[in-house]
Amino acid sequence: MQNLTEGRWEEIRRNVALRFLSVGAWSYAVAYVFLAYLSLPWVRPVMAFTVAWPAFFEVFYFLFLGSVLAGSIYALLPVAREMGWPNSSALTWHFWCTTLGTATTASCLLLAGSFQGLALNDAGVPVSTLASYLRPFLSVVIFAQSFWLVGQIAFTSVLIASLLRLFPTAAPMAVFRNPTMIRPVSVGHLHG
Amino acid sequence: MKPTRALALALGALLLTWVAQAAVGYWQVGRLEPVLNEETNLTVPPVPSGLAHTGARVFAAQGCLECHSLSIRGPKDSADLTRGWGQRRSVARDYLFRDPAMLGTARIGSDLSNIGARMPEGEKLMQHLYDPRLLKKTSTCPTHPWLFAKMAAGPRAEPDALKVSPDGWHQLIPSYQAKALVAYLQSLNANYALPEAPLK
Repeated sequence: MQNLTEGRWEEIRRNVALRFLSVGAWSYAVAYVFLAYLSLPWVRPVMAFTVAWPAFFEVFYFLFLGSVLAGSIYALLPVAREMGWPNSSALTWHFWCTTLGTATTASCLLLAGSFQGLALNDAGVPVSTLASYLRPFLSVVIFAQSFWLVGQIAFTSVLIASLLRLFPTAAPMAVFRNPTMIRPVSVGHLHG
Repeated sequence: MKPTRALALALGALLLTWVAQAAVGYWQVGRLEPVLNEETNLTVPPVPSGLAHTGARVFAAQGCLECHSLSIRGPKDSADLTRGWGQRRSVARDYLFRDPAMLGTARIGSDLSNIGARMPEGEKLMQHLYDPRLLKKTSTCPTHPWLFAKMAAGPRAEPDALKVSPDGWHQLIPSYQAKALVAYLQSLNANYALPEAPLK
């Protein structure tokens, strides 16, 4: 992975498709390290029947599959439909909201699952108190999922707008705004 | 890498996965059969009634599995037996007549593998379904009022009406779904020994 990405960070950072695919590749590795952790003989009895397992599915389905799907759409759709993507802030919203939303959800579920598992394995802890342990984490999860939803709405908007060719497109490959490229335009320059 | 070698590797990986998941799984549990309980002269695990079988569908449809598991672990590395959820760990043979075999994924409530033995009274289970706080103030289980018809109380109570009334003027009549769900919960009784899992 390191060899693949070495010296190409600027390209990955600017290109939306590459950035999503890069997140997808890393999250695939994270998902399987996480799965191996959950399967350790001294971890499995604690984490069984806890929300730590949904955390794995969150990383695998939403961070890995979701990112790969989004990256593929950003890369393939312009070729298939002869269209371009707008240089829009919606791309930034899509990337950060979905990635941070999913990562926060998974982290909270993992933490909540650890507390839940330890409490379940302590016979002195009443089952009726388990929900109170989980509530603060699940509140953050709801917030993170709302954040993820905002990202998806941004993506849907930019996808529909691009398919309907509602605004002029900037590039065949979707790219993030580069602030260093924006320069003030003088009137004298316009008149030649 | 040559394409033929890559294809052979991919097919080999698929075959290995199939052997590990399907063939070994079948070899481990696919030929399990009920066993005779010499004390009662009945085979175990018992075959659930048709109503209980329907109740399993209601159990799944109501989302009970989101919080309740149906698998007791232990005694090593688990407090399930100490909590009194059952007298022995659950094994594959327990699920022979459970179709589909539901083990659950999360525990926010207690394990229900042995709820039929822990709470055999149908009336109590009905009351728990209607409002869990009627039996235990600290319960976090949601209410299921839609499983009951609320009817004006007449001079005589309906034969299957609950013994509690929401306001004193109405009686609660369990629906077919509620009766099936209670039959299913009552059928979850694992107080019998199996060769691979004796009672503690």
